[in-house]
Amino acid sequence: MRNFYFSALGLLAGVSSWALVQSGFNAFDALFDANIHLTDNVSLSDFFLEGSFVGFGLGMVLHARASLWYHHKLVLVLSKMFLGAFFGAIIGLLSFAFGYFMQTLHIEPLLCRMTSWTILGFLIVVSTEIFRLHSGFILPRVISGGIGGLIGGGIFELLLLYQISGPDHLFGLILVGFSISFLIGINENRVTSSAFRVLSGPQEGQMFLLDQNNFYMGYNFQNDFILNDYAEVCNRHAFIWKNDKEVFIENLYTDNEVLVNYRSIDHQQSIKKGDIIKIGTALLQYYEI
Amino acid sequence: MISSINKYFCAFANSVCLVFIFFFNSCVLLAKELSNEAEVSSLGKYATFQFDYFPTKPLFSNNELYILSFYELLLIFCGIILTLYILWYIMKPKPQIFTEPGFKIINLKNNHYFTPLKSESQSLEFLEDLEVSKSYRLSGNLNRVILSPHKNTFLLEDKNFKNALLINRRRLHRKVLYDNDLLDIGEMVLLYSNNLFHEKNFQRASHINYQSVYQSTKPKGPIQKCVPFLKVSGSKQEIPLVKNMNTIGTSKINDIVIESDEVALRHAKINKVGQSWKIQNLQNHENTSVNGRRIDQRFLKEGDEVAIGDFFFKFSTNKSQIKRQKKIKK
Repeated sequence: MRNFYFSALGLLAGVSSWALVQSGFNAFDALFDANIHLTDNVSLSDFFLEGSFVGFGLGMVLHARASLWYHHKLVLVLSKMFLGAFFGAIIGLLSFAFGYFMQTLHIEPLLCRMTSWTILGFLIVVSTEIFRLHSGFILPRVISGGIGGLIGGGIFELLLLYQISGPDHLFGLILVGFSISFLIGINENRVTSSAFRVLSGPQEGQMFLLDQNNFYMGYNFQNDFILNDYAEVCNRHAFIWKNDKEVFIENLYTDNEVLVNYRSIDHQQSIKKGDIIKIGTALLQYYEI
Repeated sequence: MISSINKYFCAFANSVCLVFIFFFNSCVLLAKELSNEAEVSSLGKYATFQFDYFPTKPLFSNNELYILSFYELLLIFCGIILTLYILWYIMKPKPQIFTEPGFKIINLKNNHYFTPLKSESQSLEFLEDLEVSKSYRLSGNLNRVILSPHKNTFLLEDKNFKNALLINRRRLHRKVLYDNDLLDIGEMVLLYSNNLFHEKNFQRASHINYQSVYQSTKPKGPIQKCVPFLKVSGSKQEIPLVKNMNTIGTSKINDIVIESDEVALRHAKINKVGQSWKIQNLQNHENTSVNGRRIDQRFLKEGDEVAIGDFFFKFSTNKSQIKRQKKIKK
């Protein structure tokens, strides 16, 4: 279910990047007709801008991926999309510039394009991970993003081989976004074996999947698991980490309590299947899938 | 269910990846052959968006370039944001709100199965008749666990002391049920829900005394370091045991006053015997327990969990005393 959802998001990312590329070329043609030259070498800037548009579209959706899955507030989702678009544009420009630089060294153009695609996939996933460096799961995500970029770029180039251009870039760009998000989803599904479920209150029925190694839980929006609508939840309340299939919970401040099976814990404790965790007024159940 | 879906997904993904890799290999080989054939000299042609040296093989469409206008782009963008919103809205879990009091089953097999309760005194035997409960092992003698109506909620009384019945993961025999209380009956886990006190219906009283445990006479002057104290669970409150004999109960004659429905007027007493402290139950029909075991009288140790009615304390001797004892041992 989760993987399906993320791949659908990847498709959307591809569509958005396609639309941006199209409109960007339209604007360029208009400028070209009016004899306004932004730079001396028009073809060069053309090539770079394609990358930045693609990065804009991909980064916008991929950055808001996790917050869309956990149903954060819409303002938060939109702000993340904006940030992702900003980073994505810069990253796309840089990666395609690198590809152009490789072409000047008389390397095969197809190989250059492929490297630029992989760098794009790699760096976009890095940019999404910047704000959660505490999750001990950066490497697999980033590598899978790079591989996704490689596969998607390969298919894009294959389509270019048959001179499918114009609106048919759609398929290629969709597959780029799809493959990146799909591979990340596979890597996350491989690790998840347990989850928290909220039992009471306004966030009832929400699932917190343990798909990284380290998590923060609390009221603030910088956490991985946000308990927004409950009383007596601290900004950064608890820290959860995995160690060889064993899951530990830690109380970050002594002022507030974390109850496991209605007993307050001193500093840290391991949790078992079926345990009930109480944080503030929120009831959570830990279970293994 | 979820695990099986995951397995299918993984198998599917692996097969798709294999196909992708196969395609990619063939693509690279083709490109190598083609690039050997084509003779390209100028640098400018490399940099252009379309590769002129590739053979013209229109498969799916003709070569006419169609470029979107700005307004079409805006439309597509709005469409994407709308679909994102729809995805967000569809996947958002909607909490079920029941008007009647009842039990939710929160085991994974039967997720959120709800059984409403009648407003009359009844035993928990009706759980055995449910179709859902056939897959669980329930504890025996459920006919001796009785629910009786009590001020909009229910009072649960367990007359059989050998039952494996836990209320809020503790062994209790008599409790007024409130919203989100947890019952373990054998393998089945039940969550009591009573939306009469839901947030929307709930009105705050003008004055609430939040401190429901307090001392009737506060000790004057500084407290000695060797005095042990009771920690109230769920808050930072600490009650020092200054006197040699302390009585606990709801009436204000006692040294430690607890405001609760399930505590008797004069419930228990804690007194000093030599160097150690002893707790004693004063009412036969009421429940005081230490570490989850119902007791008549017992000597307390460091870190014991004392339950009086539905209030929980942690007994702890002061740290300075422990240090002093260690020094003496050395």
